[in-house]
Amino acid sequence: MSVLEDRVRAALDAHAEEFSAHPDAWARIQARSLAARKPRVGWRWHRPGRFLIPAAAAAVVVAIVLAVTATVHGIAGRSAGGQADASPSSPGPGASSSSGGPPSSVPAEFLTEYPPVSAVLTMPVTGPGGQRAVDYAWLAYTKHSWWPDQLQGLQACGGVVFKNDSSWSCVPLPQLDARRLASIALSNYFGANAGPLVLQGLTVNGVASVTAVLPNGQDIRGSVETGRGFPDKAWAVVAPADEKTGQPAGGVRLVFRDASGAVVASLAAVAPPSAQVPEPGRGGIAVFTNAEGPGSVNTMNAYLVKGYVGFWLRQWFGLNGYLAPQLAAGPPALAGLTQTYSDSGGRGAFTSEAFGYAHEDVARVVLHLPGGRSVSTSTFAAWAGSGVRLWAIRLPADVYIPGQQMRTITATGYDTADQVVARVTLGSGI
Amino acid sequence: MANLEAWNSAPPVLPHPDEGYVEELFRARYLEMVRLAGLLGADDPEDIAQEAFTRLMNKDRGLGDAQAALPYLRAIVVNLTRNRHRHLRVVRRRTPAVAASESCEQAAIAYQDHPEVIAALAALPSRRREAIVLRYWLDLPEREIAAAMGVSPGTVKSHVSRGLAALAHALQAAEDKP
Repeated sequence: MSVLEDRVRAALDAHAEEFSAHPDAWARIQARSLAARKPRVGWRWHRPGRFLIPAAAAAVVVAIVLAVTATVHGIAGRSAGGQADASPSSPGPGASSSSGGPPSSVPAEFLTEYPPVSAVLTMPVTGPGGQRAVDYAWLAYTKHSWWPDQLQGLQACGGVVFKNDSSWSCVPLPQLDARRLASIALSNYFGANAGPLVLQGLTVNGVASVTAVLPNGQDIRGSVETGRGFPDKAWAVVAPADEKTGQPAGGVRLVFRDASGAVVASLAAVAPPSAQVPEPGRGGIAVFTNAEGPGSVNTMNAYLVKGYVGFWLRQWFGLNGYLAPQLAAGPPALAGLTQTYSDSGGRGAFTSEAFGYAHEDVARVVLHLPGGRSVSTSTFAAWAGSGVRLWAIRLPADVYIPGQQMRTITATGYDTADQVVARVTLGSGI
Repeated sequence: MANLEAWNSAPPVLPHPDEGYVEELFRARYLEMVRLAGLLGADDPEDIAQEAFTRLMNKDRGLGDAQAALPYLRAIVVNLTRNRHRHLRVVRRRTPAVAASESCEQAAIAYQDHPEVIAALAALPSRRREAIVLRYWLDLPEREIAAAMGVSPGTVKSHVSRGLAALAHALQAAEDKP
């Protein structure tokens, strides 16, 4: 062996050590594989369990709280005040089940955060009063979003469209096994922040129907569907809700049956817990304060968590926490989110804030709003020695119109000499 | 990360012709494929490796022989990286200022511990670089290098020989610089 060959080997060996692998890699490959497979007539996906992420990857991807709910426009796990499903191409209530692309009623930013890697299933559901709505379900793979990294990876997503309202949410993909033949993943309000809940989740492939059985003996029949990319079947059913607790009314059970009518699984109807991302115990800096109503004042606090900036807000429905998808010291020099939240009674009054962080050379942030308007604010210093600055702006009331999607807002960061340092699009209004 | 390192430090596991062999292959070889793509100059080696495994997973019924999976995987990584280089060249032609700063060659040159060798390797034509990496990093015989590159063993011998000569020339030139 020549000296040159030895030198090449040594350089290659050393250089190879520079490349590492993401612990989430197997889950990503699974997601890609699901997305790449074509639907087939009469096709059955591999048996339950084949899709399960191997132990090592699962420890990172799925060994997390099952029911952490992401929402659009900051109304956690509840109505997002989304767009009406008025498009002629969108299936209306009562449409037959199908599996195709995303319906037009899913907010674009939500699809960006949670891009489908499966068919989007359409499942008609009927409420206890006979009212009808359409429930959607898909699997998503999320890589970069304003969520703690342990919540990234494969997600079960869904939502319900009812008249002029819609609600969307995602949770880490629930896992089924021999002892757990059905799971409740999501709950969304049938109407605007009130009324019955649409529960949805996954169940094993042998299940043919799902029914919500009320304490008075009344049955509410739901939908069970599967499609490209689903390892198991998706289901959706309506359950009456206790408006005080936001939970399904007491005593409601969900019964899953096979094609012969035999009971495969039975679950108490319980809404999964909403987003409860732990808030750091100390080091918080108030970014803005909002009075939602009499006696209800909420503060958005910023934290520096292992080099990442996160924001936590406690609201009437619980806690929302967002962690930036990139290290604060790295690019971009300016980052932020918009958040729209309702009043404490969920009666439809909305307020929107934009907030975020910036590098220390960003002295001022200008937001470019729809219609050519702009608003501006100064940044302020955050944690000593961190090089991070924070900013927040209350948005004009007309920026978010209930029943429509939040429009894209871009932000420009300027230094003290009024030179542009960064220009970014703000994150989706989670 | 630690898990993957552990998987790859274990003795190579030969794939078994059952449903789980892609997963076994992943555990045994994923990091190796990431590093192979990286050494070949891929700008996103993980993306290349994941795409290779995805293709293997979606092809498993048609592969026929599980023993063929590893050479197949290597060939996909080599091909995808080569295609990525072609794409980057097109991007560079269209937007030279932006693409130049993102090129895989630049990323390789930035490496510090063996800068001359890595820089010289990055400057090689892609076929020669492939042959050198497969030969001196994976220690593959010419027959397997040929399978990965989709060429004949004789061509492999030629690429390795010319690649080494070019490396020697480049390294000498670097050392002669004042």
